[in-house]
Amino acid sequence: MMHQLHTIAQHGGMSLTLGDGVAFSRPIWLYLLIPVGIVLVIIGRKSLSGMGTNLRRVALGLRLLVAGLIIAALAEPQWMRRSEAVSVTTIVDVSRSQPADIVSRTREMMNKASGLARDGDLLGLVSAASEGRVQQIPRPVRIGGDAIDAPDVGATDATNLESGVRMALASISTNAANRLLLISDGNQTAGSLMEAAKAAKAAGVPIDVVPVRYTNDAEVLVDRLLAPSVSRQGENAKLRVVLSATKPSEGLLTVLLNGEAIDLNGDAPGVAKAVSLSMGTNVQEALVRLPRATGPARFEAVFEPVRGADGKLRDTLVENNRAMAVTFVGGEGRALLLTRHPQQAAELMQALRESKIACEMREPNNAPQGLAELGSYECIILVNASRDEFSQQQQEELRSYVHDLGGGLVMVGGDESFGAGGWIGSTLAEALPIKLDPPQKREMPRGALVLVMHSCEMPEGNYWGRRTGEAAIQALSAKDLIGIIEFSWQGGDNWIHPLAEVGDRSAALRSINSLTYGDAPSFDTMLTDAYNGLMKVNAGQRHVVVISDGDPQLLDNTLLPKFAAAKISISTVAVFPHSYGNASGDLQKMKRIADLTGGKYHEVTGSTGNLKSLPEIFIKEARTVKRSLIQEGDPFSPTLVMQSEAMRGIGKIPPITGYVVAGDREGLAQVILRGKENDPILAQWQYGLGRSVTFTSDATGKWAKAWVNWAQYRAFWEQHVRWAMRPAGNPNVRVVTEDRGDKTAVIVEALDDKGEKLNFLRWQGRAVKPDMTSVPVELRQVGPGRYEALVETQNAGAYTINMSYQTGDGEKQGRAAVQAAITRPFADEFRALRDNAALLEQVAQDTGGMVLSPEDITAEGKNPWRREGLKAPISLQPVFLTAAMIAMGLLLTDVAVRRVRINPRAIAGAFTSAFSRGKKAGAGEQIGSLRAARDKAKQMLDERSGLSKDPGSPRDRGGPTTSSEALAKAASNYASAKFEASAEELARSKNASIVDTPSAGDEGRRAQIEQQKAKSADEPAAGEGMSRLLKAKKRAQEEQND
Amino acid sequence: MLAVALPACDGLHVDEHGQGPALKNARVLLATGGTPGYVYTPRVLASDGTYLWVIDRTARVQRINPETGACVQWFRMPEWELGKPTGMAIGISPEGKGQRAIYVADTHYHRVMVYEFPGDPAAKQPAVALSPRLIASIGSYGNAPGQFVYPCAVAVLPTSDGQSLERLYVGEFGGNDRIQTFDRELKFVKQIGGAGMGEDEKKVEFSRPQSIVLDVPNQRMFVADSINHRVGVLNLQGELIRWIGKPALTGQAPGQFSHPRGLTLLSDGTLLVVEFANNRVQRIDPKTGESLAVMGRTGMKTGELAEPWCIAQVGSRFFVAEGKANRVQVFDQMW
Repeated sequence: MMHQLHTIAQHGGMSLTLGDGVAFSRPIWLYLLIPVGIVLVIIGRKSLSGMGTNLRRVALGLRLLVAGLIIAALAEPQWMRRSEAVSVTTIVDVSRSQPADIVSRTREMMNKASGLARDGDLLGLVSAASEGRVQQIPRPVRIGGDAIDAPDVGATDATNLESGVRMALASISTNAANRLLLISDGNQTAGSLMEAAKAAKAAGVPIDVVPVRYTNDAEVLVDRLLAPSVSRQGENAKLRVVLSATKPSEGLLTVLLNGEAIDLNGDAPGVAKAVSLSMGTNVQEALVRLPRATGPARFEAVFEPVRGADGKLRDTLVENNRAMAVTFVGGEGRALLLTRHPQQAAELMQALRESKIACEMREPNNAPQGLAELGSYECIILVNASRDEFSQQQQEELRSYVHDLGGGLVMVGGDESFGAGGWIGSTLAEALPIKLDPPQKREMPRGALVLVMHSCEMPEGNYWGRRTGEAAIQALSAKDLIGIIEFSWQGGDNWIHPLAEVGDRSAALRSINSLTYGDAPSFDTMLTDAYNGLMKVNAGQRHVVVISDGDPQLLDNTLLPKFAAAKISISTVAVFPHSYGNASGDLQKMKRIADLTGGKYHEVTGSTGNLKSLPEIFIKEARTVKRSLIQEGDPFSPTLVMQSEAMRGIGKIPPITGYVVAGDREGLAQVILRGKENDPILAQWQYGLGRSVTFTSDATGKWAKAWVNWAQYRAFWEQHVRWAMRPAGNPNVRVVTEDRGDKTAVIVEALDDKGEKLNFLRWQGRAVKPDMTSVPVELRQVGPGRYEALVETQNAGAYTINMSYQTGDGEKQGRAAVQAAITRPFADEFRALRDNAALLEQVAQDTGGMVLSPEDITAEGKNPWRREGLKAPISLQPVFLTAAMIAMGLLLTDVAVRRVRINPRAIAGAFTSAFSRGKKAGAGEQIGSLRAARDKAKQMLDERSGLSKDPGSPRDRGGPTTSSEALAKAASNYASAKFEASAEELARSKNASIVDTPSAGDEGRRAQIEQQKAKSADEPAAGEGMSRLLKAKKRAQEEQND
Repeated sequence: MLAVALPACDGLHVDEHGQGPALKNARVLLATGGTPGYVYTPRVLASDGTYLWVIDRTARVQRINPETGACVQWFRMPEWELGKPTGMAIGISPEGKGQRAIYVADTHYHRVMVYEFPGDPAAKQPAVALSPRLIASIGSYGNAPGQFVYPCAVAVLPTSDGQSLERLYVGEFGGNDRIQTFDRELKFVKQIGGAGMGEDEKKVEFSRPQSIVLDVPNQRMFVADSINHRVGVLNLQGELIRWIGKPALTGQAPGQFSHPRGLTLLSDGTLLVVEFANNRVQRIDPKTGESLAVMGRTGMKTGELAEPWCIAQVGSRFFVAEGKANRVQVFDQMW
């Protein structure tokens, strides 16, 4: 038996394994075996001395065994089971640079190889693109099975092999030895495959690889487009297009400015320029006149290959044939006003224009796309804008525009703004100097919203169900009521969250996370529950939102009229219905529900991309209950509570008749004007690099009629907009960017008005990345008037950079700002022109795997399920409880052995008599012995009284009374002594066995009695048993008499 | 709170929530997965006497070895993007000659597809992908006679000699909530019942007649009127004999139902009713409506049930398909 001691480094303890069967986690207890054994032997010799030798040995053996088992149980024994199965997890690179049929080719290859798998072997599948995703957890290999339909692989414009390998490692089987099989070209654009390989090696999981080999012999890519970051209106800008070619190529180069092609050809026909490229790097230059309009000028360079003299195209991938760049064309500061109600903003627009602030008005659905374009404005003004007019992306861009680009934001109220516009809980709300959720102590009529969630069969239904629920909850204020109903598989229609105050939202959000998304059969029951719930609460606005695919039943014709009569509206959101169009009964049903109750009908169909609109729909619907935040009434003048720079020279404030209730924000926010109950009306603060101002009344004739004709109306708005605006750019600051691999250098040259270099400027900068996250940009002075910063730019997309600096001190202090944009037009996915099989081979070598190919996957020694180099996993099953229970059983056996006297002969006799016909004889024996005893007694009586043996003889009958009495007495004594002894007779017969006559007092009689006793003692077992009975009976009678 | 076990017939105890004991000797025959031999949200089961047939949300129709769970044959529905079938029956073919056919209620395409029944699978051969001949496609979307909205139940009545089709019964929900019958030419014959909430017990009204089972010897049929929480007993002409359960009395007590969906008729004339929302199986005496046994309880462990849709019997074993648990379990008779 092999003993192995393993040191468990993590826990600092030891374990002991005995062969391949048993392991002990706390083997130190086993040291007690010998001393305890010795003690038990010593004690046992004494305590068991009264037992027979064999019995003593058995009892001692049992004791030792019990003790041994208890000690073993304390040592925490575990049963070790070794698995013989092998699990292979295939990681398939499905990024866009891979061949389109890679999944089907993988399937064919694995089907071919699966014949080599043994019973119990497993196969799993992970896809790797921008991230790794588990497509199939390891399960028994089945020949001929096809892959899951339409696997969801996520974004494919990047290759993150590290994520694929790590995901595979996370999903490997714990009951089998594991291998990974990586199928890829080895080109990765994110992550580090070698790092993941290290993790695999540490886990003892070898990685076999199947390189997907290719070489793009002929390839042209537009490496970058260089343009000045900043320029002035009407200036000429020199553009440089850098192209790389693997072979001499020819093609046409086109440059577009804001989408329109620039004529690069001069007088020749067409606008594109014919270029001949040599192998390697080529640079083409173009001189472009910038537009007169200020703002970002977008350039795009596009290369189109043409066939060479041999008729061949020298280009394979088209995705890498274009590049972009942005030049900010500077001018005077300008503002952008966004509103869906132009007439409500007309006076404000007029006032700003009269103040010489260049201002442009657009509707939200025509708002600038992207941060770079937003950044070309110095101030954004929202007038009575509701949240649902902006996508989630736009909301985030607005926030980042203020925080990271230093832009100014002015939010002006109205009946669809602030909290009433659904902005509570939005990312933009973070940029405002007020809290949109009114304070708890503020008495406001509240709203009640019920969400009815039906799972539908939409993709990622759980995820979208959660997003929509969260969006609706976030849009409500703390005092509003929220309830959630769904059909649960554990109980049918159910209030997952009964109608209750939103509060801090945690309870409601927890309920959203606990939704089970059952397949609801009936709208009738769920809507009935919603109706009954809403009728019990006191709320100003009551509303229901139903999300469903429309197939639950709706047969109760009385239900919807009840909702309408109670003024409870129901909006419906149809998601991925089973049928579309006007002929769809399900969609008609959903529309009818909304129409009959005054709600709205929304349809989210088509592609999964449309699901992104779901949260916005729910926010919009949640606004229905938020009308309660509007405070309207008699005119009153807001109170000036604080002087600010923007209020300089502003006199008496005219009255207003309404506003949206909000609360104070802690920190450095400044409230300038307050309304009733101390509600903030005008507030401002610094947010990141920018500033924001809020005015919760409106700028029109609805709530602020008296303001429109107020003499200081123009000054009020001009001063507040200018206060918020980002400072103007310095025309003497030049910005250029340089590509440095994964990073881009931002180089700034700053001059003053006299052309002198500006040194020791204190810069603040932020860069907004394509994923909308922002990072600080730290500019260091690297030379006279020259400053440089490095920005990470490895991902495709647009990077917007804002840098501002302060000059001077005290009253001469000034601010200036400058912007730049960096673009990476295509994913690095398309930069690779050949495979990177070398990386894969290295991974295989480092982890103990092999390089395989589809052709030889079934060859000897190349089986993906081969066992070489693998360590079979061992599962440990604790058995200490079993040991303890066996010890308990043996302990009872030990007690039985010692306490219960076992007479084998008696046992044998009992068995024999129990199963033989002599059972009756046994009973007869007892009777026989009684009779014999009776006869003996009679004989003795006769002998003593000299009577005949015949008790019935006349002489006996008529004989002396004494003899008869003696006989009767003797009989009585006999009977009593045996069965019915009286107290007197008992006393006499105590020491006698059978009879006691008045004349039995001499020695001879005593001798007889002694003989009788001796005889009784020698009588067979029945007599002995009888004497025991007699004794027992006597004892009982004595007790009774006592 | 101490659970109170209520004595029920057949010695099976029912707790205060109407839950019975775990299914006897239950094991998972078909586990979760997307390949043949596995299932995603199975919703349909049928038996051809030897094999088990199942349809799930991969739109596969699989023929399964009821002992091993191996898929022996399979085919996929021609369309599935809008949804998958929720009903199936195997019975006499409309082409007669004693041949069998597979009738699939292609629910979300509002039609019934009739396929030729395949030959027996070869021994020890892994799952064979079939391309069965389509005998007929019945119906289109609508509420006119012969049209369907969400057909979900199919039952096949053979002629008395068992050689050809006497009548085809098709149940629908989605507003139609009726049963239509078709002759051997697959032409519409009559409509049984209509949409209703079951308030008038004398009327034949349905709200999602999810299953139909024919009791030919007794010339009657059973219909799981799911959302009305009752089971209808009708004659083969569609005339009402009685209702078992009531819409107003939906609940968990023995004899009450909550969304009964699956039915199977036992050889002794009693009925097994699978309840979607109560996660259990009841054995019912159709003559009296009495609950004779309650089996199964809510849960995901083997022997427990999570959204059971339907039940089928092959030999002496019983099979139940669960939508939430994504599996098919097999269990032994418990009565």
